[in-house]
Amino acid sequence: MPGRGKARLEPKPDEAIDRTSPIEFEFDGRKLGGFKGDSIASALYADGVRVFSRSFKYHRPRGLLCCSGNCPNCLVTVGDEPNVRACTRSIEPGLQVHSQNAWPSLGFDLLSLLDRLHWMMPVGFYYKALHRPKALWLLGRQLIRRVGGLGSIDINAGHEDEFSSRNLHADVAVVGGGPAGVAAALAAAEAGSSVTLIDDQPGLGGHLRYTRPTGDGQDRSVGEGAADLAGAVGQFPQIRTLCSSTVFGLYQDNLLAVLTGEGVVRLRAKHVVLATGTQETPLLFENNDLPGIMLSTAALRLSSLYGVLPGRRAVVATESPDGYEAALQLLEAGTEIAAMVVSSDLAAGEAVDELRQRGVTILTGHRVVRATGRGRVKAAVVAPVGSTSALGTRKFRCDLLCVSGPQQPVDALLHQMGAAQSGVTLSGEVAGADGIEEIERQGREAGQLAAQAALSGSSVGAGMPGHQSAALPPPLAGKNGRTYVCYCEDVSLHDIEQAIDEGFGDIQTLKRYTTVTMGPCQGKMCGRALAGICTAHSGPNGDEPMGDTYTTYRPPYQPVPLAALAGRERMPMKRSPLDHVHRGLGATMVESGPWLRPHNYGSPAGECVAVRERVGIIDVSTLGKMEVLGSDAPRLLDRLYTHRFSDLAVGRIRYGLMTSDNGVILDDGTVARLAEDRYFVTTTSGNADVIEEWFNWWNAGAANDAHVVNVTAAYGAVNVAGPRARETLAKLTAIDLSRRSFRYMRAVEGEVAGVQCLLLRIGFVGEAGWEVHFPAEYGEYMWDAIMDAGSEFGISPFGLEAQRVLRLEKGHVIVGQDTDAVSTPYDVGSDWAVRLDKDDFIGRGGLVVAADRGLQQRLVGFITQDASFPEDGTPVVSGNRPVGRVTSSRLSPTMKQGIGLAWVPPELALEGETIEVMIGDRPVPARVTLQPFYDPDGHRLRS
Amino acid sequence: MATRAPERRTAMYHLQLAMGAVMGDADGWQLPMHYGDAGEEGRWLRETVGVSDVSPLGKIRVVGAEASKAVAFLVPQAAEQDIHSVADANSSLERGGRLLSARLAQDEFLVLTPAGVASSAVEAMRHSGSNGSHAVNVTSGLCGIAIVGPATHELMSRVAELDTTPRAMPDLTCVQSRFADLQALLLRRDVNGIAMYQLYAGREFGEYLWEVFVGSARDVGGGPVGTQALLGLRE
Amino acid sequence: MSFLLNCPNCGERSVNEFRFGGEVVSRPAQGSPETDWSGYFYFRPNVAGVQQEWWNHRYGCRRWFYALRDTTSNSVKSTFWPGDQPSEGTT
Repeated sequence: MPGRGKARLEPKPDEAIDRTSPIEFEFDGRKLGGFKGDSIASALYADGVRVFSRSFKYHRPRGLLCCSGNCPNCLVTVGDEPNVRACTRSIEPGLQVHSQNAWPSLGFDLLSLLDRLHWMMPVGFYYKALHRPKALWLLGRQLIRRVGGLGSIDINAGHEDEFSSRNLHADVAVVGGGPAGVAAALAAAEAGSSVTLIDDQPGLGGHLRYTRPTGDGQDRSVGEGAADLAGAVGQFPQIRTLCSSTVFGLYQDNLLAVLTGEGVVRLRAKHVVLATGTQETPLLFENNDLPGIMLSTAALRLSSLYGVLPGRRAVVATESPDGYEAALQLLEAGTEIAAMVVSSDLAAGEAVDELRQRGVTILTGHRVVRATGRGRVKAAVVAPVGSTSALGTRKFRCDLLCVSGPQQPVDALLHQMGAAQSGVTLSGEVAGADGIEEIERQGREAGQLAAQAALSGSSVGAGMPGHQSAALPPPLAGKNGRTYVCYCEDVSLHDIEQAIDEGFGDIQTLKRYTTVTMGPCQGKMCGRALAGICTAHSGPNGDEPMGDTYTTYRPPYQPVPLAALAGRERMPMKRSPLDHVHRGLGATMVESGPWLRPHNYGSPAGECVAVRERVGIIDVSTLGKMEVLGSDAPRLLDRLYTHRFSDLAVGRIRYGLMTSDNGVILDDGTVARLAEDRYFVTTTSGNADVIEEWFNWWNAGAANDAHVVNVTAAYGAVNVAGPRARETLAKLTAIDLSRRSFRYMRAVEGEVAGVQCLLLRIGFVGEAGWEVHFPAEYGEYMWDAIMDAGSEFGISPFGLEAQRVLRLEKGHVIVGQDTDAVSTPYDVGSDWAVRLDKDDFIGRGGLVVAADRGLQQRLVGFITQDASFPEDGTPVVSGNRPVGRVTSSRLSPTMKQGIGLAWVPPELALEGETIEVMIGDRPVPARVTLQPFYDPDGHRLRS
Repeated sequence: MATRAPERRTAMYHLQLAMGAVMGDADGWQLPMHYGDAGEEGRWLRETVGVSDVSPLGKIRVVGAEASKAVAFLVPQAAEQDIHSVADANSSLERGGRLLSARLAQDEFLVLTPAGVASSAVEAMRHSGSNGSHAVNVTSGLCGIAIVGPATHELMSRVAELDTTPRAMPDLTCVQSRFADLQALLLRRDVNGIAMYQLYAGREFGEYLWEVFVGSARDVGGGPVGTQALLGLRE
Repeated sequence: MSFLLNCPNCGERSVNEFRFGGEVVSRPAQGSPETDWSGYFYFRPNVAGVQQEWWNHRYGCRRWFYALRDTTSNSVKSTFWPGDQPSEGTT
C-alpha cells in the first residue's frame, strides 16, 4: 500500500513532504508509496530499505550516508538514467527505480564474494598483477570492466532533448542558500543589485531546514528559521532563486556553470559570494561503511524534512555540534540514545546540558573503534582515545550509528579558480564564521561589498583561505583494511598507508595511485580525512611530514549528465536558396564545407554529356561573394591578390589568385569591375567568411576608402553552360548575348526573366556559359524560369561530381583539393597570375623566395591508356618509390580515358613524359600533359 | 519570357509551409498570414512569446567615413547618432512608412526600410552628395525574425550568451553578437509600449535559425506567429 | 576559456565571440633579406607574459583590433584599434 511507510513520524510544521499527496512508484519491481516532496531515498528508508547500493570494488552493502547528494552511497538507476542520487531526486508517480551494481539482487549480491577476496586486490593491484602471460591481462581487463564501475549506460536511451541550456546574468551571484547566503543576497538586493541565489537543496535555509533556530532566545520549531529566510527572499523580485541547482564550476571572469533540473545554466556575474558552508565528514573506524552508519546531519534530514525515524536505538559519535543537535532531535522523535561518544575531553553547551538532563550517557575522551553487524550495523564498539588494547572497550547495541567527523569547508569552487580569482568573496561557515550571529553578519557584509563592487565595476579579490589543520586522531590499531576512507572507490586506510610505504609520498600521486578522492564524491567525504592521514604520516623516507594539503579541485564539483552539458543539438548549416529545388529533384546531397550541395541528380556521366552537348545548369549560390567598394578598392585588391586589378576595365572580369604572405595559395575566384569604385569578387564556396576576415585584417586600421561587404547570401547564382546556353538565356532576357557583344570574361547587369541580375561570362567547365546572379529570394522562380526556357534544348541540372569531371577535363585546379599547405602559384603553373612587377602585395615576399629557390614539385595533368584511373590521394611511383601524389582523377566522358592531376617532381613535369600511377595495387603508366585535356585552345569556351 | 510573375520567398518559406502557414503576398514576397489560429498567435504575443518572419523588410548596409551623412539624408538623427543606438524617422520615399537606422560602428549603419523601397533608398543615399559612403542593398542577404512577448528573455537566454534584458538593452538600441552560434544583429524598437526585438542574420542560415527560434519559443510556451497577429499589435 | 574581452566597438563580451589572430608581428619591407621573411613567416616569441595580439570580433562587429593579454593568466590588460595606443584602465 502506498502511504506513510512503516517508519513515519507525526506531522510537523515546515516539513518537506505534503502528506495529503501520496505518490506511488516502483523500486526493483516492487510498488512503494511516499508523499509529494519525498526523495527516493526518504521514501525507501520509510519503507524499511536500509541497503541502497553495492560498493564499487568489493560490492559491500551500503546505506544512506549523507542524505544531501554528496556521497556515492545511494546511487540508483531511474528509468534508463544510471547513477542518480536517490537522496536528491524527488519521487514522481510511476517512477521506475532500480538498484545497480548488484547481481542478482541488492540484498544478495554474488559479487560480494569480492569482499572476501579483498586481500587479493590490494591498492593498485592492476598495476602489479595480471602481467604474465599477456593474455591474462586481456581476460582480467574484461572481468574488471564487468564487475567494476557504476551503473550501466543504455546507449539507446535518447536524452538529447531533455535538457536545454540557458544563459543568465546577475550583478551578484550567491552560491549557497543558508543563513549566510540569504543574508548576502538580501543585502546585495537592498543595495540595488540584481542577485541570483543558488542552492543545491530543494529549499532555502541550509542547515536551518532541519535544525531549530538558535540564538534569539525564543523557543522555535525545526525548520522555522528556514521558512523565515525563504519568506524574506520572496520580498525581493530582483533576487532570482535557483533551488535544487548545483554550481559545478566557477570559471574566469565569474562564469558559473549551474546544473538545474532543466539543464545547464551559464551564469555570468559581476561578483560572486560563496556561502557554501561546511560539509560534515564521516569518522574512521573498522566497518565504518555498514548500512545504518550515517552522518548526524543525514539523520536530522530524515527526521526533520521527511518525518522518517532514522533508527530505534542510536549511538552518536561526534566531533562537531551537529552531533548534539542530532541526538536531541532523535530523542524527541522517539529514538533511544545508547550513548554519545565524544573524542574531546570536554563536552559543553546548552545541548549537552539538555542531553545530560535527559539521562543520555556521554562518553568524553572516547571514540568508536569498530562497528559490528553483517549487512547492517548491530553495535558500536567504543574505546578511550589513545588506547591500543582491549582495555576499557565497551560495546553498545544499536541500529543507527550517527557520526559527525571534522567539518570540511566547501570551498572547492574557489580552489577551482586557482590564481585567476577575483571578484569572489567567501562568507559564513566556509570562511570560518561560527554561530548564527557571526554567520549572518558576515553574509550581510559580503552582500554589501559584492553589490558595491558590482555596481562600481571594480573587482574585489578574495583571500584564499588555508584549510584548517585537521586534528585527526592517529591511525588506529585493528583491521584497517575495512576502515574506509573513500566510499566511492573502496579505498581503505590500510590501502593508503601501504601506498605511502610504497613511496607515494605526495598527496597528488597518492591520489592517482590509490584513486582516493577520484570517485563520484570528488573528495567531499574523504578529502579532509586524507589530508589528516597525510599530516599524521611522515613521508616514505620517514623524514618530513607529508603536510596538510588537499588534492587539486577541478570542475565539475558534482557529476553532470553529458546530455545536460550538450543541451539541445545545434548545427548551423548553410542552405542555398535552391536547396528545396534540389531535394525535390531527388539530388544526392553532400556536405561541402558549411553547405549541403547536390552531388548528382542520378547520373553524373549523363550530366556531363548534357553540358558538353546541350546545356546544363548548376547551383553556384554557395560561391563566396563580396562587394569591394570605394576609391581605394583597386589598391586593396592589388595588395591582396597576386594579379593586378587597378587596371581592369569596368565591365571586365579577371581571374584572381590569393596567397598567404609566404606565397601559399589561399583561395581563387573571379573579380569583376562593376564601376570605378565597385568590384564584385567571388571566392571558393567554403571560404567566404574566412576571406572576408582576411580582407578586413589587411585593411584594419588603414583609414582608407576601401570597404568590403559580404553579399554571399544576398545572391543566388546558377551557371548555365553548354552549346545551347545562349539560346536558353536569350529566351529570358533582352541583353545581347551574342559572341561579339557579350564576350568571354565580361560582366553585364540587366534583367533576366524580369529580375535584375548580374551576368558573368566565365567558364569553369569549359563551355560557353554564364554565371547568373540574382537576389536570393527569387531563387526558385529563376530556376524554374531557366529550366522552362531550356527544356526545348534538353537542359539538365548537373551536380558537383559532374562539375569536377568537366573542370578536370579543362585542367582547372580546385584550391584545397588539388593544392595543399605548401602549394604556390608557380607549383600549379599559374605564373601568369603573379605580377611581381607591381608594388608590394601579400605573398610577394614568399613568392620571391619561391621563385629564387625554383620548383620543388609541380602539379601536372596525366592521362591513362584506357578507361581505368587511380583514386584521389594515391601515390605516383617511380621504381617502387613514391615520388608524387594524385589529387584528382576521373574517367573523362569525352575522351573515354582516365585523366587526372598529380604532384610530381619537376624533372617529370614535362609534356609527354611517362609517370606511373597506382590503380589498385598495380603501377600503371600514364602520360604527363601540361595542357587542358579538352578544348585546349578554348574555342568552345569563347564561342 | 516567363509566364508567371516573379515570386519572392524568404529562407524560411518551406519550413513555414510545413508548419501549416497560410501564405499571403507582401510586395511579391510570400509571407505567412497565420498558421491556422491567429487568435492563439495573438495570445502568444501578449502572454508568452511569438516569433515572426520579417525578412522582406528592406535592409541597406551603409559603410564609409561619411556613412552618417548619407544615412542622415533619410533619417536626420543619424548625423549625431550614438553607436549601438537605433533612430527612426518617417520615410520620405514613395510609399511612406518608417525607416530605422541602426548605427553599428563609427563608419557603419544598417538602415531598415518598409518592404519594396530598399532600392530607392539606396538611390537616394547615393545622390546625397557624400563621397565617403557606400550603400549596399543587402535585403536579400539577411533573414529577419521579430521576437515579441513577455517571455522574450526566457527565449533569448536559450539562444544567446549576451544579456539582452531591458536593463542591458533599452528601447532603440542594437547589438551585434552571437545568437544560436551565429553572428547576428539584434535591435529593439518597441511598438505601442510592447517590447519588440528584431534579429537579422545571414539568409543562408534561415532554416536553421527559424528552427532554433520556433523551437525555443515553444519551449517557453509560445510559437510562430503570422503577419495578422503581428499587425494586431499596432492597433 | 571564459574570459571577457573588451571589443573597442562593442564593449565587453565573452571570448566565445572572438577569433584569435596570433601575435602582432611587423612585416618586413619589400626587398628585405630572406632571413627576415622566414623569421616573419615562421617564428614567434611566444612569451610567458603580456603580448600584443590580433583579435577579431567574429560574432559581433567583425572588426580586427589589438589586445594586450597575459598569456599566463588570460587577463587582458588593454584592447585598442590598430594605429591607436593602448589605454590604461580597460580590462
